[in-house]
Amino acid sequence: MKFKTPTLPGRLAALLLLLLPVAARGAGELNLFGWSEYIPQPVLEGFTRETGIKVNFETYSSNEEMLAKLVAGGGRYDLVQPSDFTAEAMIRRKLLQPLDRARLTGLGNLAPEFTGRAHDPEGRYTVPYMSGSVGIVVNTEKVKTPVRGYRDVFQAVHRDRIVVVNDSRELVSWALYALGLPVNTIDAASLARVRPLLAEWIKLVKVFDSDSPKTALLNGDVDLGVVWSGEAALLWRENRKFQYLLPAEGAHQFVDVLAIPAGARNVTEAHRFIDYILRPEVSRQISAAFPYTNPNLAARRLLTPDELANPASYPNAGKLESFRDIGRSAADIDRLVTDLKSAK
Amino acid sequence: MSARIELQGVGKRYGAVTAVRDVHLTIAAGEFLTLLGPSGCGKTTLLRMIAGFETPTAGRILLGGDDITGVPPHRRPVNQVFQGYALFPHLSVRGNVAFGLRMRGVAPAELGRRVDEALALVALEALGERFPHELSGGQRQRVAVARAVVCQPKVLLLDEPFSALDAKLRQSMRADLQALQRRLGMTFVLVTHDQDEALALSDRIAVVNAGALEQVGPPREIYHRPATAFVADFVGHANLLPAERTGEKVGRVAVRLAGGLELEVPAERWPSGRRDTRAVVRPEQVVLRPWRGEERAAGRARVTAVEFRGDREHLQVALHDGSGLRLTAVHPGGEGDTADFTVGAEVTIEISADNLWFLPGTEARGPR
Amino acid sequence: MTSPPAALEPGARPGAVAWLLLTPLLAWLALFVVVPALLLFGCSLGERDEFGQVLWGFSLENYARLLDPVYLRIFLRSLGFAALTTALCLLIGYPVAYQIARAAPRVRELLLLLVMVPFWTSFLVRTYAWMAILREEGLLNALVAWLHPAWAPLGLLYTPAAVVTGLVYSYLPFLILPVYASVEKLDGALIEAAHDLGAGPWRVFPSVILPLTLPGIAAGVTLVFVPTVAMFAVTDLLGGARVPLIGNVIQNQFLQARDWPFGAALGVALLGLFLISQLLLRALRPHGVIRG
Repeated sequence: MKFKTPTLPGRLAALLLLLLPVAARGAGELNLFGWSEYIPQPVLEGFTRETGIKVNFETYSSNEEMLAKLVAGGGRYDLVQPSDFTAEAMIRRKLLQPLDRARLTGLGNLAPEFTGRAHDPEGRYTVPYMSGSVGIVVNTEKVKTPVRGYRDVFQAVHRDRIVVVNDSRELVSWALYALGLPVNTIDAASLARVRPLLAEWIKLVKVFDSDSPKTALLNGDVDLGVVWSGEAALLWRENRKFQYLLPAEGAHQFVDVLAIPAGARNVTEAHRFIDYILRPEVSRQISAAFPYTNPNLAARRLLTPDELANPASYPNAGKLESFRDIGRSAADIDRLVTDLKSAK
Repeated sequence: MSARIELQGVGKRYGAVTAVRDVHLTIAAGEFLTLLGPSGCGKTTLLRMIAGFETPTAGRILLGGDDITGVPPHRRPVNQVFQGYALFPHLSVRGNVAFGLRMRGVAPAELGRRVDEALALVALEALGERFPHELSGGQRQRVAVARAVVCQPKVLLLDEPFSALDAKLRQSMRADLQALQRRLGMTFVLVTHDQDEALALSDRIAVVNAGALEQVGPPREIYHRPATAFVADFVGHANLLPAERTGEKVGRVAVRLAGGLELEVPAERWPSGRRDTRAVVRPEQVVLRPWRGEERAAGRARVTAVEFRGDREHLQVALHDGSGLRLTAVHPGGEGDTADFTVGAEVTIEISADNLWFLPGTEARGPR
Repeated sequence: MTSPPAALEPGARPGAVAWLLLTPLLAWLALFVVVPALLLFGCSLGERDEFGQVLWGFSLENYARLLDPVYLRIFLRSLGFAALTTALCLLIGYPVAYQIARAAPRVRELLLLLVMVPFWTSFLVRTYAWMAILREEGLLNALVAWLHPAWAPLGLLYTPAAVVTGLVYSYLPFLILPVYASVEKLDGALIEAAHDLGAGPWRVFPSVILPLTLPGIAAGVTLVFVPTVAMFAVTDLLGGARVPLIGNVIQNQFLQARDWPFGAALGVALLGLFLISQLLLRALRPHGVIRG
């Protein structure tokens, strides 16, 4: 038997066949840009299984990184996951597009305190994903003195036993709280007041780690820290000796939201994903993997008593406050922290 | 200053391989001795043992009566001119020559003077600041020599010092080296595979084959009175013809060579007590004449190849006696003569009996 | 007589052919080196707007900021870390490279393979492995506690020593390989010549081996020094991000402070530093070594 060279129409048909899957994929695709360690893989798989929509998942580890890539990459992303204060700036900058709320059937599952917040008062652009706080975690086996606030953490006796998130704005806000200053209006004067206090604190810290501050605690390299509540919740789940508390002076509460960038191409798919996340059983899955505070009331009802008892996920009432967009001051804060770290 | 070297039963084995075996050799102070042999014969290993780069697995090496067998190279009063010269590329000519003196901690003033002297010795005064890669091959060789002799070694070792040079340069460098040796009165040990070099330069030649000494003697003796077939063939070309003693007269021996040639030679040249052996017939001892129709069968041959070499011709002839023996002959290449000896020409050969040498050895079989 | 066709004339226009062959390289260089460098430089003259986007312009303000003692200090510290790392790599790597190059061919291949084996796993994974070794309840402290309980625990993780350890570990192969290449090229006869001229084992090294392997050392030092100056991952993971090096500051400008123009200015300054150091290295390279 001999093989014949295919005719021109034959070749074109072959070429089309090769292109077909690409075209098909383009129709049912979602380019998701989310935090690392925040969206469980089974949730993504479940979504694809149900809808046939392929999820291209990319991650970032800071709001600023996400912004940098979003601004540089144009319409590459269909769905992003900013923190509330970043979403606020993005709305102001017209980087987000309004949601079609009619398509989001699960909005009613959300707890009222997580809707209509300052960053998006009418809920036109964002849907809350998870919420959390930045608080103090203590290894109660090692630290016997009572710890209530930032000033108790940053004591000379804890020198080199402290881990904190490596986030300049967080660091500065703690000192602002400790000094009784507002955390959302930052100017040269308030930074000048923060400086000497923060300088002392930074000298005491052993590890700055935003990605996995729990590691140093778990490994016994440090005994206490100021970390994301989700990290603290995982520690508590591991061992009850890790206790979480909201600092008495005040603490940052963040709400991370889902939002669709202005240039998104797959808007329909993005809406379907948001609605999928709003389902109680899906949201419950997220809570199990990453025990932050779930804003989805219906999902919370599905949690075990043990999960609800986690002090880091559902802390006792404290003085919680949202961050607001501070614009140009971000660079001043970074400069201050760089300066203080270098002075060590 | 120079000293005698004694190799006493020196041997070198690498695992199962024997590179050098049981060498006994005494090199006199101020002598120019050449270790001559084909590549892989062990001559370089022998040199390296004298230099100290290899330790003998048997025997002793004495220098001026002192046992230096286990002394590392940097403590031996022996220096070497390396094959390819091994000049330090990062040092200037002066830097290279001064290296040995620096290592010996010679004071700067003396060092400068001695480097100048050494450079003058090899006529390189003007090139002191050059780097090796800026020099010609001959200049590099001179730097290598100066670098070695500036240390005033008791023995200078030279490992194929001419192999990197072209033929013409080789000739003049040879003469320079010999003059230098005479002037310094230093013991020189040269390693080479080039018999011309060995014959031209040496006081004595030690022919090395398969890790052992075949013969040691002055160049003329080596050439004219080779002790073995190997020496005869390696040093110059030799036709080894089976020879048979047919009779004896007072002081003369009658001999018949292959090809039926009969001749008489002085009795002292025939190995006493032998009935047959092989004659060493140098090509220049083979005389060719055009065959003029003589009946005599002895010495009849045909030219099978002619190689023109300018000043002479090398001819191959095949004997007609049925033995199939071939001989090489040399014929002066005058222009008129050539017509007589073209390929296929019938010739008669004669061998001059005067300087014919007969191998004394007991090897019965010929080379073919 | 007719002249042969130009195309058949050997070496008629070697320049043209050479340029043609070089085109891919030149295009690559232009696209991925020259253009980004120009972009970086252009960006460094700009400004950050309120939202952290680049406003293109022409201002030397970012360069003026570089002269702030904070950043000068960070630069110096980074250079110090890199210099220490490079020195340790040289101290450890040179003898290793030398022994590998002088080993029997079969052993040599095996040793070279072993040097390169770490590259088979991700650099980050290897750094995390170091965390597991150095941490308070890690392997090293377990060993120390077993040997001499009074010394345990050594607080090694999240210290400058841990950073240098991680850097030396990561960049050692980059020193070993070029030094190996230059030792392997080294003619053994030169070493013998040095011995022959009276140099004992300890004097052969500084007088012959070192100067002749200098090109390999220079390449290795460059390959280690340049990336370690700008390294940030190791400082973050093993150093606990406590003491910022220039790499951390640059990374921060792009990802945290979102001050790209200032980050670009830092990058340009670093680039300038490397250019100067390369020119210095070139100037210091001794005559004659270039051609062996």
